[in-house]
Amino acid sequence: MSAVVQDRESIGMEAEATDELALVRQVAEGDEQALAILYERYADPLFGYIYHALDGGREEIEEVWQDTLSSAFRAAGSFRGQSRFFSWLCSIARHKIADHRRRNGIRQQNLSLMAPEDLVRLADESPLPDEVVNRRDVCLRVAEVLSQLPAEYRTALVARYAEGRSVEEIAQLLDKSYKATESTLSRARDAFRLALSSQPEADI
Amino acid sequence: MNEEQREQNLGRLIRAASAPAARPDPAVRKQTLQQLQAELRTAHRAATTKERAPELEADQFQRQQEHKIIRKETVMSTLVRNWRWGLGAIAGATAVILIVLSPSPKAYGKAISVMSNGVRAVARLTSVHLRGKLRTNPRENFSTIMPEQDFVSIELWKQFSPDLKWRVELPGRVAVMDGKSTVLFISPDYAAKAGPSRSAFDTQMYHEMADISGALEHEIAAIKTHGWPVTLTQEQGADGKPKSVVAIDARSGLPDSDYLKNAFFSTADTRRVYVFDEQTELLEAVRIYLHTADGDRLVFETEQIDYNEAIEPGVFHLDLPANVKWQQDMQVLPDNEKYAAMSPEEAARAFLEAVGREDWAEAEKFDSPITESFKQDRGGLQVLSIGKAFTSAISVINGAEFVPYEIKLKSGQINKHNLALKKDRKTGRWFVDGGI
Repeated sequence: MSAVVQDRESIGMEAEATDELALVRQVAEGDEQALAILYERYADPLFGYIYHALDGGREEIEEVWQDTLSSAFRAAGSFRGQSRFFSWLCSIARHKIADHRRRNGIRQQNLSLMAPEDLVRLADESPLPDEVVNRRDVCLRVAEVLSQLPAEYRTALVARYAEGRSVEEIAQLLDKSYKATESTLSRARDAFRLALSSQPEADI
Repeated sequence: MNEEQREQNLGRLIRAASAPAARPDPAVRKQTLQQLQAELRTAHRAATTKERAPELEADQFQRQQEHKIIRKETVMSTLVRNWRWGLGAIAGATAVILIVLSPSPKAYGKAISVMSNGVRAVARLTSVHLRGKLRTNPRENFSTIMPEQDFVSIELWKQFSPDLKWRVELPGRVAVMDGKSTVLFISPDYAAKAGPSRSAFDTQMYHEMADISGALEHEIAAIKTHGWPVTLTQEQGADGKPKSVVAIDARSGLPDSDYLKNAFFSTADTRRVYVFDEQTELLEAVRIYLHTADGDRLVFETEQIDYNEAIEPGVFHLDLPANVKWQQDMQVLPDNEKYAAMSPEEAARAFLEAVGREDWAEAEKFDSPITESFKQDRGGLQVLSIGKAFTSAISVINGAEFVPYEIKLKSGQINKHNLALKKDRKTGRWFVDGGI
């Protein structure tokens, strides 16, 4: 990725981070609309994160997901913006998962997370075996990385690869021209790859 | 590797992480937002207008009621969700099938009918009992294929409601999830325990068969990624009734020279055949053929699938023998460094020689627990040779190394095999993961 593009990604992410800090502060002041915006942005990725991290039944996942969101929004006033909001949500989710396991007498399962650089190297070198693609820790890492991308990039990547939409459909979704959408997808892939190869954000 | 392949890899990673099952149910999602907004409203009022206690109580009451509704919906919508995801999968499957078959309106209508019926039927399921046969060793992993072996029976019981519970059983290996934990027992005396899981201990493929919408979803993702050929045909069943048959030719992507090629379903080149009964609308049979140089060989086949039968609660209870030994986490040893510095070959030799000396405390530093049956079978062995460690393409995922060895048992029998070793992350030591 060129330095220029990388800078643009950084600027985009910083702008979104600033925006989300403002939104979280509004939530802390009781703004339901701000809560709805953050919810739209992060509820689904958080569910995916818990889905891959917990490896439990559907109801357990929903329970932990709801508890995490409830705790996070109740504690919105304590969010200082030192990490991305989603990372903060994930740290709360990890505590909730640990609580859930303790309550139910479940032994902690250590996911042997593949080193990010190994994953990217592997994806660059050869077709990925299904064994890698479907691994729970890999899915967890990818879900986390996707959630940290600017919303437009995330939308484009999920629409293209998870939902199998055409570039024309994504262009409509993003309200952009075909060419601009192709360019967005290309930048989104670069940003995804870069984020995937970075070390995970430390626990908060 | 070219850019197209690289993009495919990224796409597959994104698709796997964003599977429909990893997203909340829309109804629960909507209600959860309302609940959170209600909580925020309540909390904000409490913080700003303490004197308005009666209103607060009313709001709390309302919140409790909403909370109950969400929980109820969570339970009630479990089956409905299966139905909806299935529809998503069906749309994908239909598209794929149409490309392969013919874009004619007739073929289109038929494909929709086959898949939609199967999914509608899944929506009504409370349980599945699947009986089949698999070419493998009765004590092996549930997804291990041994094409030269005779068939052994394999059975799955799965209860979807009121609570998810399941049991998968080979003659010498059984895994049971009773809603609270998942236990694996390998006859005669080995056990391992994990939390409640959807598909622990290598049982995933059977769960996917039990939840056909999930199976199709998985297949469709793979078809889209790899461009595997799919066919849809109609045949007459042994009962004289028409069946719709979906066949998928799956490729593992592993080179033929890979040690694990065709060892497991996930690393094998197979033809997977799903048979739907057009009258009952349900998946009626699954057949899996292994592609070999000599042609296709049937390695798995369902013999009967019963839906919505009452499953005896005892099925989800496992009575273990008194002498069972439980799998233990590895612990850091006082002289851990010595073991952590070993090469895989050194670790294999140290382990096998300890077994030969019947020094079980030493052997357990590599493989815990050492069961009585293992002691009887392997104790006193003689190490004849240790080869050079090698890896599989899969090793990049799990770090497994395979060390060739030749041993002579007390009985005089000579065994040649490859010891699978992995490094424990906590202790940095090699542990035995199979191959003995």
